[in-house]
Amino acid sequence: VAYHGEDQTNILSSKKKIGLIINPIAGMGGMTGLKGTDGKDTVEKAKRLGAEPLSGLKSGKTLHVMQQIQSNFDLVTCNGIMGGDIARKFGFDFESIDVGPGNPTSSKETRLAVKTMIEKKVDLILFSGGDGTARDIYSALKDHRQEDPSTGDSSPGNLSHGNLSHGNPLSRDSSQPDNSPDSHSSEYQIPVLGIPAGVKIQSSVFAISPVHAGQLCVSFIKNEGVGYKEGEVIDLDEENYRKGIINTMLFGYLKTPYKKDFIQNMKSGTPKNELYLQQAIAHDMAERMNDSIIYMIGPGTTTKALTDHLKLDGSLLGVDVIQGKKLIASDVNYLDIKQLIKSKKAGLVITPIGGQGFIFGRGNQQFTPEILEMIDKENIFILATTHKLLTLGGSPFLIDTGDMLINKKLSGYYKVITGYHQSTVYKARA
Amino acid sequence: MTNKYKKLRNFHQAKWDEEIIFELHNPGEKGLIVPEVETEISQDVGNGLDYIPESMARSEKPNLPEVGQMRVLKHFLRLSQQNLGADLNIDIGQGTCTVKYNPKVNETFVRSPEVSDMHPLQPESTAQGILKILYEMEEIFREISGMDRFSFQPSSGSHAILNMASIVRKYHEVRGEGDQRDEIITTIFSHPSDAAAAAVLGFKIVTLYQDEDGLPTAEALKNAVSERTAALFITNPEDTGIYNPYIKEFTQIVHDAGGLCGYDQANANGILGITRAKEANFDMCFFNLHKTFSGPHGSGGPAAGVIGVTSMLKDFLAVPVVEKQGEQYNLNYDLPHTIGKTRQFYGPIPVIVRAYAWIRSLGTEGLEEVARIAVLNNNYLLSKISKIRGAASPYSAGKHRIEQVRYTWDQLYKDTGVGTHDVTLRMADFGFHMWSSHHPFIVPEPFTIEPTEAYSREELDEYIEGLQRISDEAYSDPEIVKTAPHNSVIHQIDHSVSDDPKRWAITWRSYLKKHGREE
Repeated sequence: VAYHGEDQTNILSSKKKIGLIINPIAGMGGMTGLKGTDGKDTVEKAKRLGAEPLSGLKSGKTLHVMQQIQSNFDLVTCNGIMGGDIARKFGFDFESIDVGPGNPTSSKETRLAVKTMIEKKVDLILFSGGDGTARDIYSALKDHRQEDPSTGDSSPGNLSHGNLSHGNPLSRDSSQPDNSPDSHSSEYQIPVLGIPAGVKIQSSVFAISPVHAGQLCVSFIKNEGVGYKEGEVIDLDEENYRKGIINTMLFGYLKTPYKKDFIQNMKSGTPKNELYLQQAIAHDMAERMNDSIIYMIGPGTTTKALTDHLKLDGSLLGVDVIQGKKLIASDVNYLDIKQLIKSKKAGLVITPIGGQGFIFGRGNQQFTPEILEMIDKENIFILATTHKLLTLGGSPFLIDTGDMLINKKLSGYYKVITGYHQSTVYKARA
Repeated sequence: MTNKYKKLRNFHQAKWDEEIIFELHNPGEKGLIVPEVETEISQDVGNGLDYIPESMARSEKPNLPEVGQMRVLKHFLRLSQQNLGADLNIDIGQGTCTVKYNPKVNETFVRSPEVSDMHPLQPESTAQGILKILYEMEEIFREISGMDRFSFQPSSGSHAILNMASIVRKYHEVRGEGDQRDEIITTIFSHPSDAAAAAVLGFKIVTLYQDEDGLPTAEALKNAVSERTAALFITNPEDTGIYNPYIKEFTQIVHDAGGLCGYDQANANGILGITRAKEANFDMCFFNLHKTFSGPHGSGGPAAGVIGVTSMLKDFLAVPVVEKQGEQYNLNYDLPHTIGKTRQFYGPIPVIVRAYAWIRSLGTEGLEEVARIAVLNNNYLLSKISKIRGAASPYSAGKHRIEQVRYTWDQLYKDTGVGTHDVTLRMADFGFHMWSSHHPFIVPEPFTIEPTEAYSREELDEYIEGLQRISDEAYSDPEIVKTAPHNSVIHQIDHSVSDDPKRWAITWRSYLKKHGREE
């Protein structure tokens, strides 16, 4: 998660437009022990087991908070159970998007709603659902950008293009594992905020509760102390999850509003802006880099700050290779890595997944057990802001490489770089 | 509602439409007429202003407001009425700060001519009384801590930590390991200045996190130490109020790695006369006289952080140290490895005099009783606050705490959307102050309560009732809390301004500049 301190000042004068999307079936799987509702058959099964739609009820709590400032913003929502019904119940005037009569609704309707909301130039997409819904919204925003790159939904400087620099003989291999995260990064202009209503809430685009989502929206509408972070969109494969196999993937990042920490009093001081802290970490890491070592830089905004600091065109979701502070290759797969580190002393620079704490086996599967075996533990550098460590709530880092011996080798304590000349001793376990 | 909360008192803060002092500027008005220089003096020294070096002299007069004396008095009295302060409210919500009663009689000593008319450069032979107090204070602190020598130079806790870090640096330099040992280890629940003041000297900071009991582990420490370890700076009990029973193992691990151990005893209120730095094998420690030893404090002063070391480090202390030869007290500036002078003159004498009077009035048994009552008060509050809906004390469930507890409103926040910031503001409506904690918020929605020995059970009950009422309100009508304070001078402020250099201003001049009112 990357935090940016900027305020929403550009549209101070105009009335904000909020887009609301409700995934009406989110959360139904939880009640019935089905672990999510991805897939049409599962929805039917959940209904047969007596599940009732909770998502609408939960977003009702959010709308209840927003009712007080109803006249300060415009609401755009889908017809029927995807938003219109509940908005009407709370007395909102709204602009309706027709997503058809889909019942049960699927990702198709969500994507259509996002597309229409982009056209209607909403200032914030507020959705009720779970990780699957977040992923659909992320995909829809990404598709839209690819269809129409001229709309200014992205900042080109932050994108990786999967290409290689400096005429390196290696090229991006099409045998890249399918479960590797998408290499095309986030940075969409429209912020997205989730009302937690699904079974799986692992992505960092959700508010703590529906009430908090409402309070955050009120602050957003009134321009009161709202900053933006790059929230991770994480989902796990439900098919496997039902079989007991957890396979989480990092799909990308969405721009997510958050309420800036208030300063409690003089003594507690100003919480440092996360972006600034990431730069401080990058500065520290750059100082530690040794020209005789070839470094693999893992995915994430924290590690991206390092390539930015070194003025290299690094990728956000891919693995980049650096030696002598120069980019050797960008967005490589495990075969490339194997080739590159052969008979060389190699190091890894990684960051845990916020909220979960995975350091290996999720989001960076390019680092296969075979590769990890070739790396000395002392050459593994973990970067994380203190805030990111706090999102773990005291739980250790997690390792799940699929190889028990490697998991064991990588377990134990690390000195995590948390700032310039600052580190924290933190435990990792398989 | 009033009946249910009979201990809570009605309170409304005074509110004045008071200008900024610069806005009271009225050209020609005078607060004080400075007397003419006497002829004898001017004959002797000429124009005193000529002594100011040209490079330091102003070419223009400072832009100070011209305001009459009575108007100035009213101005500051009104401002003081708009504040909650010591001696006015129940200050137990300022956990980690050890806010306690400051006996007023001690002010008479400080204001007596024997102290207030002293000149810092007068000959030692004429300052025997003050030197005797310093000497005896050193003897007292040797007893309290088990350390062998003390310096009274540091003027605050953070300053004392800076002194400790300077000693650490010098010690390793003298042993030829100065370049190698550049890391200081601390814990996340130690005072943040342990990291900050050490970082000022260029040390790299390694922080240990707590385990599920709220304590740093020896296992983590073993993984933190190396040939680069310069020292461990640690608080115990930590800000959670939990005492680390493995502290001796900690100092052993660090000593084995070649590092020194510094004990941050800024707040020693729960362990006076019960545990000592020496028995835990620390090499140095410091005490804040303005906390444990009853000096009044707030807004950054006046403070004193007396620092003690074992005989191994006695030659590294800041100078001067006080010595006694026969019946004569004198100042010794000649320590072979001294880190030098870290403050002007003798040290913060008024703070030391107040603490000396306080200690002498209590005696050995009295000091220990301070600790015992502080711990009793704290655990009384712990049992009461644990019963308030939405509040909890993370870590070490069911165990007693020492002198303070870091609580959480996490459940309240999740249930009602009312967080610690909201509760803080609502507490002001009852004339209370409540503090959250140092950043980062390891404990979510934190608040830290430290009742010390100074408050009666009635006062503790009154405070608890404030917390109870706010919890009740949060669950029944959260808007009351979310829109608080209602009885205060200023209501809610958008604090995000302090994150924005374009908007905040710390001087009147920069305020005018940033807000487009430049003259």
